[in-house]
Order: sequence, then structure tokens, then C-alpha cells
Amino acid sequence: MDLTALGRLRPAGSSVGTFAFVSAWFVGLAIARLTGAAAVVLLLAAGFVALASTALSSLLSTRSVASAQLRAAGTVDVDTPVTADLSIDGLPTNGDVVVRILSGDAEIVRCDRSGFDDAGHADVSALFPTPGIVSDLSIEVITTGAPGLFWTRRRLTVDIDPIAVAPVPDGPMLEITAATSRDAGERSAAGGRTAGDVDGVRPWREGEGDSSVHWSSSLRSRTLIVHDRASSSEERWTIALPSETIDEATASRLLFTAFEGIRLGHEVAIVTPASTRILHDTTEARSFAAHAIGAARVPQDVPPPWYRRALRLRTQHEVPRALDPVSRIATACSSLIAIGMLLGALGSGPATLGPIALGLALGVASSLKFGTGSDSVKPWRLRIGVGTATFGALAYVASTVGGVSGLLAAMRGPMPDLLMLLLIVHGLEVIDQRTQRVHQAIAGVIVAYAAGLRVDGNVGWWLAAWAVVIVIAVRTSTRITTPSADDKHRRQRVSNRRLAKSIALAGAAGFVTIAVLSVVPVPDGPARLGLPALSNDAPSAATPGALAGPDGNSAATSTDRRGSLGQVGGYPGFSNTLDTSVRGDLGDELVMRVRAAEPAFWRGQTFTEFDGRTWSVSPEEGTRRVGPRIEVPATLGDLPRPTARIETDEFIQTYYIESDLPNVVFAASRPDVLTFDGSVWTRPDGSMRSNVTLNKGSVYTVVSQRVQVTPDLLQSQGDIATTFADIDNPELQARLAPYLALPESTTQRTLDLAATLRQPGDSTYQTILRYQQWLGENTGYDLNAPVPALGTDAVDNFLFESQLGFCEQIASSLAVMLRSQGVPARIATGYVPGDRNRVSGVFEVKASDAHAWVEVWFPETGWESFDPTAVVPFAGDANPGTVGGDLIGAAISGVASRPVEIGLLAGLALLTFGTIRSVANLIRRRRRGRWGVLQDRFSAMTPPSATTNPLRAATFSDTTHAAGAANDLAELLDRAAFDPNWVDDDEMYRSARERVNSLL
Amino acid sequence: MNADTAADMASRLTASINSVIAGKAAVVDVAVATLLARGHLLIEDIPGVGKTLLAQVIARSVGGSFRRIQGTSDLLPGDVTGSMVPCSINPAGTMTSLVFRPGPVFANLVVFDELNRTPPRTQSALLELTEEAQVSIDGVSHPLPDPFMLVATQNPLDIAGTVRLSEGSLDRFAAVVTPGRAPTASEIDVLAGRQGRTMLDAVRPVVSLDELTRVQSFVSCVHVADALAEYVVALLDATRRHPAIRLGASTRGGVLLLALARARAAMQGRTYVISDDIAALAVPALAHRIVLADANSSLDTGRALMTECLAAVPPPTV
Repeated sequence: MDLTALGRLRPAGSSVGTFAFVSAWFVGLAIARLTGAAAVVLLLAAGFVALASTALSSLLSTRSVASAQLRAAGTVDVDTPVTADLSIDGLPTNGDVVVRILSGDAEIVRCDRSGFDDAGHADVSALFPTPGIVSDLSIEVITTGAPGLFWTRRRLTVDIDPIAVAPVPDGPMLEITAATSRDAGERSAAGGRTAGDVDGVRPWREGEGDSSVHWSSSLRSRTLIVHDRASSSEERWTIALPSETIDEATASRLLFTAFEGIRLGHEVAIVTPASTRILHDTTEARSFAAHAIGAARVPQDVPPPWYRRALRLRTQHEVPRALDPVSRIATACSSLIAIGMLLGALGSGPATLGPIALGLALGVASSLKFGTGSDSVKPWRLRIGVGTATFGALAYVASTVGGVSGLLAAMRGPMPDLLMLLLIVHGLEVIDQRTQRVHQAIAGVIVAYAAGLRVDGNVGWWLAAWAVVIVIAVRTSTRITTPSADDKHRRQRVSNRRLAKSIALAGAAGFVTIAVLSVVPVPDGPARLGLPALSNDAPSAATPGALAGPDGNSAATSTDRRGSLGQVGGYPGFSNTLDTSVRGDLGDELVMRVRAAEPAFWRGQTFTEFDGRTWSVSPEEGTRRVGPRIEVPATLGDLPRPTARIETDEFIQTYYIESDLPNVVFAASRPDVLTFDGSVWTRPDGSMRSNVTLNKGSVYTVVSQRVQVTPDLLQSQGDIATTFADIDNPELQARLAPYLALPESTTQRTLDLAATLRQPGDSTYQTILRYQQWLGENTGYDLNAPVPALGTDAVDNFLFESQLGFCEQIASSLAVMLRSQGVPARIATGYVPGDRNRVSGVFEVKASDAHAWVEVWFPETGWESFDPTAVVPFAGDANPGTVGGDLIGAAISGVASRPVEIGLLAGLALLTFGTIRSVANLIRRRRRGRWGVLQDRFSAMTPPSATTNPLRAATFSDTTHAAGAANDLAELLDRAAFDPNWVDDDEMYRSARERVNSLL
Repeated sequence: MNADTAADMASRLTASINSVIAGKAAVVDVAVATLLARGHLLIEDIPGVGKTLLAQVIARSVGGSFRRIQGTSDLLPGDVTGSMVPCSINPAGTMTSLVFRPGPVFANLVVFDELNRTPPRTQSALLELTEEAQVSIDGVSHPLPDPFMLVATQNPLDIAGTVRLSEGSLDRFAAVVTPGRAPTASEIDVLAGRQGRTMLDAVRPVVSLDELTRVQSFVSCVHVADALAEYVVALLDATRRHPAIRLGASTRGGVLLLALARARAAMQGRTYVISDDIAALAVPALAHRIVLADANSSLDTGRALMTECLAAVPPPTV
């Protein structure tokens, strides 16, 4: 393959408004970083793939260009338009196309797709700028792909039949002053020596000094002969112009004169009252003439401003076109979806959407009325107004925002309102491609913003809806608005093929997106700059530092007043005492959403004292600390800082409270920094209580320092009972003593069981596993377990009598068994992680996720959670996963959870589609007959200009096979139509149908 | 006689003509179709592109009598049709009687060169013989030989010394063709003597008169589906409704168009006409019959308008 003939492919920059998309992407990146929302990451990955694929589509569309040819008359006049026949083999069928023909660096033809016919021919008007013989030309095909965002150009150098470009024949030369600077040797240089080189000898002239006399020649010839000297300068033509600006005619004559001078090798100088300029070549002459006329007649001579060059914004390729109504309406719909999504995040109802939709519709109306597609209308006043208002408002917001809570308040308060207002106002300004793309980009930013704020389960659907609409908007923006009959036909003819191609491309893009996402980890939380915290006018706790129920009343010690059972958040584990025999009906209400990279126990309280039936919280209230930023001190057993052996990592969780909860502050162990809009009591047992109850709408963020616990790490700490006995630290001994206390009611068989199960030489970790295994094998989980009789030991009752119980009893048993073996243990209550929403990446915690588990103290790693009933991985084992992996998991689990429904739905859709098609076919066949249907299919394959069947067949001349089949088909169809002796023969029909199919 | 023999004959005829006429296969097809359809042909073009040669080679390829009339401005009707001349009926020559002496049109193939140089009188003399294939002189009808075909040539109207043919005369011609200049390669062949007039002598009749007559009768039996007749009517109607046309195509035009279409079908070995036959022949068969609103327009404008009308009427299909 001759690569030079095929030309080079290279990017030629972006289309108008593409920059807006790229900027929007980066704004989205900032939002993702700020909020740590997986949904924004998903959006960004899809956007990245979309932008990349539009660039690829642009690159691919120029691949079809095979060859190009230009035919023009053999002799043309310079700067005079001549008609030439340009034909390009394989002109791209999608998107905008600009064809430039260059002679040297000068552009002689520029035309767009509208000039070309189906076969890729165009009659163009060429303007040759320089006289001479042109035998090769560069033809540049610059095209965008279908989405029209990026330009790619392909330059082909073609040999043409030589074209002689003659100078303007009737252009009389301007008046020139010709001067030859060839001196005769009389001029002297500074040093008194004669200037110039000796060039020969000549006779003496009047007035020449004796220094130049060539004596030997003079003596020989007996006349005075002198040196002839010449300087190196040449003849100069000076063209005097009366003023800086000239008219067309003068410019033409000026060009002619200058070309002539340059052709003869003279120096051409143009003298105007203001300046003198030397023209060295024809390009300079043209440039000068163009400037003097004041018209950009030679655009390639006017270099674009530096920023344009730097950004490679080749906007001059753009084909101005009116806005496509479909695209504009789809754009407005995308804006509406974006705003709807944001309103949902802010908690506004659909009522607000009405006026907004009206505003957007106004924008559409104004765009369709005033959107001319040309640059003639520039609503700069509107732009300045909108711009000033926007930046002013942003500046106001920036000045009023202070601190962390201020930022979050701004993100939820004035910022989104401003963004929505900007979008609606900007809708009025959408008049061309650029503004429309900017509009779409703003909508994209709003979507990213909303995806970052929203934590509910519908984010995925919103995103999908927006993506579909925006793809329609972008894809239709470059289509031909008023198609000709042939365009329509061409579109119809390729529509089937294109549909299949589009589906394949969309599938490929989807796969690439998933592939990209599968290496993007789930964001590990919001940036430290904007840890969200928000209080929501919650009732204050009646007694500071004490537990308070959701209504704010003290939930003190009396069992009947601790958080009302049966209510959301009324789990007994969030009161001062935990009766192991009570659980209550918790329901499936959503309690909170937790944005975190990995699952963990969301711990609320810990219990130390156990009397055989009831666990109690230690009465100390701890220290009051005022938010929003609260450093949580390390408590007993929680390691204050990582050591070389123990690795910790930062684990950020943001809690979005969805139901009214008591004032228990949940956190994954071990909380380090708490961002809370209010004040918090940090208690010695590691739990926290706030001064207000956590009611619906509250938000706070916890940064935990998690120990990277692995089984090996636990195993290596050996038997804690032994280690503990060896610890030579009375203070620690004393403080850990409560965690070893056994209730008096503990029965001997409980102790025996604990002792029997433990094997000599076991590490504590192995002991725990053995206990868990025994519990798993010998007891059952049952929410309706029988209540132990009064006065009996709950653990004994559970282990040996009922052997049925719920998490509190199971956890209590494990704790008692461990304590009996000298291992410090306690009970923690809180929530298990809950289900992760795969799109928004948040954990959705339900009331029934309330849980109690055991925490065991390890000397090196501190309190570690163990749970015989729920499986939550160790921090060191937890795999943050990737956004893509989550999506695939969601899809698989979605299909797996309802295979029958999904199968039925797909089947139903297929059935409906099939029924509609077959009914349409039946109607058509009934009306047209079976040969009529064949005829229609054949007609649809060929351009409408082919009216009869033989003419249709003639359009298939590209391959002999198709031509033969088409000819046969044409004959059969004509016989069916006109031959009186025709009998409808099944065999013949079959062969005709096969031929139609073979032509597709 | 069946479709195959008709097609065979037509292809022999076409090949024979094409061996002389360089690079004008489409025109030759129309000419042969006209012959088979018992129509008359008018060849219009600038001088020197082989109008007369085409007429002559058609004549020679058909074995029959052949006459040629050169149109001049002083040509009289009698010079064409023949006239009554006094003739002695006794040996002494005392009694004379007017005897009809047949003119040059009494031949199977008559080539009338430069028809539009003759005065309108003479042009009108052709009206009867082209329509009814007979000549009436002094109330006596003299039938022309069968088959009879008139091939006339004319120069474009802007050439000096021409008289526009009347609408009636033009309407008698089944088809008007414009051969135009031959493509370069064919022109080289003509200059080198491989084609063109030098080859005319080599042309031998490839079709006997008898055979031709039988093919002509076969052609008239080729089936035309009703849909196609409707199509022709729609075409005629389109010419009558077109805003740039003062007078649309005549019914005779439709009849002759169908006749030509039948001939084309037979030439392709079919016993039925298809829409393509009509679409392909509509322009040569109808373009000269429409009278344009702009009186100064040429036949080319007529062709363009006819093409427009053709595009406006969708051909029937199954």
C-alpha cells in the first residue's frame, strides 16, 4: 500500500463546544473527589468512554477516504474563480465534512458536504493564488464522526493534469519607481575604502577620483580605465500607495505588479504614507493585499490568535447550520432530568419542576425561533448579563462560605439553586451548536452534582435516563436538518445496517466502560475538605450527655422508657441496658445510608457489665467536645497510633440518617475524627453521644483509623489469657478487669463447656473460632426464641435449654465463655453494613440490620469484632472492590434474584416486537401480495432515481454477483407484474426471495 | 414466429447497423424499434454526425428498395410523391393521357435528407403517406410498398435556411433521435476507416422484407398490461398538466409510444411490455410532440421537460 498516496491521518482539533464537555468532565472529577460518590465515578467513566469513542469515530470516519481527484481547465487565470470537478472516493457518510484543496500552503478550495452528490462529486470554484504550473495538490478531507465533536483530517497529495496559472492578463501594473542600487564605485565605506567588490573595469567617467583608476589597463589602452565596482543589492521596485487601505481593483493590480516584480527577481517595496514594507514572495504580497483590502480574503495568511493555536480549536471547519429541533428538545429534556435529579437530592417535590419545565420550554422556543446557526446573532448583552450574574453569585457564595459546615451548606443551599438558574437562563441563549453543547455540558455538571449529593436508590435510573437523552441530543445535533429526498432514502437504506452497527458500538462502549470501571476502585470517601455534616433542627437531648430517645426525652434506665420498642430505631441496644431476652419487632424501614468504601460494623454502643440477663452501659458520660471538627481521643484498647507492625488505614464514612434515631453516634471502629454539626460526648468505652438526637436528614462524617486486622495478625498474638496474666501493668489490669467479670448466675456447665471446647495450646483466635463453630453447630438463630424463665441465667438457658436465640443471646454466650477463659470481651450494638446500592455505592441500613456482637480485646490490635451470626470481613481482608465490579455484581444479582420475571419481560418485549412486525408484514403482504413485498424490498434497496426494475438492477453493478442477481430479480418482478402468461410459482418466488436477501 | 426469432432478427439488424454507426448503440436501438413498430424516424442533429449514414445503413441492412430525397427549398410535393405526366397511349403519339409516375417515396425505405429545408408545402405532402402509407393524386390512391419507413433528418432550427416542421408533421414521427457526436474512441475508428461511411459498402441485407413484415406483425401482438396503458395515459396527462408546456402530447403519441415499447420488448425477446420499455422510450417518442409555452425553446428543452414528467409519474410494479 502506498502510504503517501493515502495521506496522513491526524487530529485537527475539536469542534465548537467540545471544550465545554471536557471542562464539564473535569468539574465532575472535582465533584467526585469532593463527595466520593461512586455514581459520579460511574458517570465520569461513561463520559470518558463517550468522549474517547467520539474521537475514535472521527478518526475512523476518515479511513474511508480512498482517493481524490480534481479536474479543471488546463489554463486558468490567477485569482480568478474557475469551476473544477472534485471527486472524492469514499467521502465519509457521517457527520460534518470539510474538504480543502491546497496548492502549497495556499488554500484554493474549501467546501463542505452540501456541495457533494451521492457519488462524492462536487463542482467547486477554485481560486489559484499564485501564477505558475500546478501539477500536484494536497486535498484535505476534514471530518467529524457522527457525534461531531472532534475533527480529524486526512491529507492526500494527488498528481493532477498540470494546470497553468497565468498572471492576471488585463491587470495594468501600478506605477513603479525602479531603482538600481548598482553603484559605480564612487561611494565609500566608512573607512574611506571604496565600497563593493571589484567587478571589472570600465572607462573613466567625469568626477571619479584617481583611487579607482586601474593603472595597468589604462597604460595598456592609453585611456583612463577605472575599476568597476558593484554592490550586492539588486533592482528595487517601489510601489507608492496613497493610503493604507486600497480597493479591490487596486489590490488586484498591486498583486499583479508585485508578482511581476517578484517573478523578475526584484525587491518589491510598498510605500504607504505610514510605512514601507518589503515583499519577499507572493505569499507576503497576498497577505499585504488582503490586509490592505481589510477583508479576510486569504484566511490562511491570518494566523489565529495564540490561544486558539494553543488549544487547537479549529473552529473554522464548522459548518454553520440551524439547530436541529429534535436535538434541541432532547437537550431541554436532558436539562429537565438533570434538574429533577438535583431537586430530588435537595428534597424538593415535583411541584417545583413545573415552572422549571416551563422555563426550559421557553428556552427551546427561543432557540428554535432565533437559532440561525450562523454567527451573525451574538447576544453579547445577554451573555455578559448571565456571566456577571453567575460569577457574582458564585463570589457571594464563596465569601459567605466559611468552614466545613459552610461548604456543605453551600453545596446543598445556594449552589444548586444557582446552577439550576444558570441552566434555565442559558437555555434562552442557546442559538447555535456551541451554545447548545455548553448547555448540555452544564446539564452534565448538574447531573454529576446531583449524583454526588444523592444517596438514594434511584440514582442509577436517573443516570440511565439522562444518558439516553443526552446521547440522542448529541447524536442528532449534527444531522442534516432538512434532508433532500436522496438523503432520506440513503438514511433509510442504511438505517438497518446502521442500527445494527450502533447497537454493536453501544455494546462495545458499554463493555469498555465496565472495563474502565473495573480498575477504578470505589472512592474511599469525600475529600477531607468537605466532610459533610448537617444537623436538622433535631430535638436536644433532655439530659446532656445521657442517652436520649428519638424524641429527645431521656431514655435513662427505666426499661419501659428506653427507645420505644417497635419503632424505627427502637432497638434496645441503643439504651442504657440491653435485656438479652428482648429484641422487639424492628421492621424493614430504612434507618440510614452510609457512604463508605467497604462494609464494616456501624457501632453505636458497647456494654461491659452483665448480670446474667441484662447488659448495662458504663455510667460515665465522658467529655463534651464541640463540633464541627471533633478529635476523638483513643480509648482503652484502641491503639492510639499505628506501630511498625500494625498498619492502620483511614476509613471515611458519611452517615445520612433517614429515620429519627436516638442520640447514639454510629461509627466504624476506631473513630479518629468526627465531623458533626453539634457537640458530642466521647465516652471512655469508645462510644459517642450527641447533644441532639439524630433525626431524619442529619448527616455526619467519621474518619476512622482502622487496624488492618488479618487472621494471621490475630493468630500471632497467641493466647490472650496467658499474655494478659503476664502483663506487668497494674493500671491496665485494673481497667480491663470489668471485661473479665462473670455474672454470678453463670452456671458450671457453661464454664465447663468453655473449658472443654478450648484445646490446650490454642491461640485466642482459634478458641474464638472453636466457640463460634460450636455455636453454629449446636444452636439455632430464631427471632422468636422462648424467653428464659425469670431468675434463670440467660446464657445457660440459651446454651443448654432452648438452644434457640437471636444475636444478643448468641453474642452474650460467646462473651461469657470467653471471659470465663480469661479473655477480655464485651458486647457492642449497632448495625451490620446493610446492602450496598451498586450505583450510588452507599450502604442502605434497615432497622432490622440492628445487631449485637462481641468485641474481644487483643493486646496489639485492640478491640476486635467477632460475630457468630453475621459475617463482616476483617478490615485487612476487606476488599474495597471497584465500581465496575459492583455494577456487574448488581446486574448479575438483579437477574439472579428475579430470573423468571426478567425472562418473562424480555420474552414479552420480544413477543410484542415480533407481533407488531408480523402484523405489519401481514397487512403489507395482504395489500401488496408476496411479489409486491419483494418489489418493495427491492425498491427500498436502490436510489429513488432508479424508477424501473432494470434501472434498479443497474445500480448493482459493483460486483458481478450482485448485478446478476439483481438482473434476474428485476426480470422476475417484471414478469410477475406484466407477463400475461405468468403463473405464480412457489419455486420462482423462493428464488426471487433468495435473490433479494442476497442483495442485502 | 416467436419472441426468440424476433429478438434474433432484431439483434442481427442492430449488430449490422452498429458495425457502421460508431458508438451510438442507444440511438440505433430506438431506430430499430421504430422500424419494427412500423413507425417513422426523425434524426435531428448538427451536420456531419452521421444522420444520413444512419438512415442509409438502416436501409441497406433491410433487403428492400431504398430511395433518397434531398430536401431543398425549391422541392415541390410532386417531386416527392410523384405526379401525373402526359404519356402517349398510341404509337403515333397523337393521343396522350395523364399517367401517374411514382415519386421517390415509393420504396420500402425512404431517406428524406434535411427535411426542414423544404417548404411547408412539401413537408405537408408527407402527412398522408406517413400516416396512411399511400399517396393520393387526382383522387386516386396509390399505396406505398409494405413495409414502408420514412427516415428523415433535419438540422437544428438555429441553422440558416431551415423551416420549422409543423406540429402535425412532427407528430407523424414515432421517434426523434439526436445521435450527437460520437465518443472519442469511436471517432478515431471513424477517422481510421474502421467504422463509418467506408464500411457502408460492406453492409449486406441481414433481414429479408418478408421476415421484417412478420416481425412487425409479431410486434403488434406483444401484450401490454392494463397497468402499463394507465402508465402511458398518466405520462400523457403529466405533459398536459405541466406548467411549462402549452400543448401536451397527443393520443397518437401514446399509441406510438406503446408501439415502440412493444418493439423494444420483442427486441429483448419478451412477449410482454414492461414499465422499463415505456420509461426508456418516452423521451424519444414524446419529447417532440409537446408544444412548449416558450415558443423559442429548442427540442432539448422539450426533452428536459419530458424527463421531468417521466420522473413525476411512478412506473407501475407488481
